[in-house]
Amino acid sequence: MAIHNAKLFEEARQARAAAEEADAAKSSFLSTVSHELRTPLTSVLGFAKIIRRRLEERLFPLIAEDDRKVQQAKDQVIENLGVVVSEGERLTKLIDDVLDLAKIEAGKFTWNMASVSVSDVIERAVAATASLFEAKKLNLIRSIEPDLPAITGDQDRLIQVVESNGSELVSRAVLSKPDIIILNSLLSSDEAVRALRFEKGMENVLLLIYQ
Amino acid sequence: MKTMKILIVDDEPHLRTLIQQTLEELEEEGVDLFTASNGEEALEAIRHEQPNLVFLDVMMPKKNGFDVCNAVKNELGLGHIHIILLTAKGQEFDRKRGQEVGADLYMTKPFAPDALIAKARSVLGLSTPGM
Repeated sequence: MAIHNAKLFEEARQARAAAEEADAAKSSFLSTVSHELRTPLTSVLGFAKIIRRRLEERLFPLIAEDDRKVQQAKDQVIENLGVVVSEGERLTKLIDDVLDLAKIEAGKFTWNMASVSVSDVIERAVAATASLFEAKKLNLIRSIEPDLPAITGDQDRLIQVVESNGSELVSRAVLSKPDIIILNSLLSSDEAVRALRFEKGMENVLLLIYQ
Repeated sequence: MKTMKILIVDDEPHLRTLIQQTLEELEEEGVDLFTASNGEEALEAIRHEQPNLVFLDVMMPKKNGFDVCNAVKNELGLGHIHIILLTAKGQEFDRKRGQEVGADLYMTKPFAPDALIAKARSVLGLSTPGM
């Protein structure tokens, strides 16, 4: 009997060791993948920004202003470089998100819980999505209830939630082309309300970030 | 006036060029830029040139950035050399390791060129143009 127990114990120990090893291998794999992806991305983003700067500071001033076609080409070049930069930044964010997800799965994610002002979260999320509005020439009116109570949460993650919901809202709204988008509706949407009342239910927030 | 020096260390040639081009404007203000492509070369260059500032990649063949930083800060008595670790990993573990080996700052790739110049200027005590 004792021998049987000892054997079972040994098997359990080995299984656990194997699982831990697999987990460590996964973490190390992800960190390597992240590194491998970020290195070329650094070149793409960095050189795109340098090219933009050199064009604007040194080359464009030499261009004849009265040639309409040249002016058009110049505008296009800058706009296209802008796309390279913003898409590169989006890709960077996606890589970060994948790493976060891996950390959450491995139970290694740390939350910076603190008292958070809801209006700060909204303001920062609005600032982060402002370019979407500008690009589509849409007016943004935000009305935030005064005296909203502070909540306990991880400010950066909350901004991430509101931002991604906000972007979704914006892109949906951009499709239907209204004159005005009221971002305040974020707060009344079920999802965002759940996200903001997340003192207990962290899982809800995770779902929202990655859905 | 004594010339100021910045050493750029990265095993990826494109990234060395990128950082060099980013910091190019400082050359007009009397800053020398030079590069190394692995940890051993970096240590050699740091010993000989004694740069004011080093942008140091972390994952490199022949001595990684942590080891180079540790040697400079804790073994060679060159603690006054400002070291900025540049890493593509961006994980909490690396941040801690960076602190342990005495790095002055830790920046994550992809970095913003403006942030790199601003940092170099503040370390070298150069004023920012237009400000």
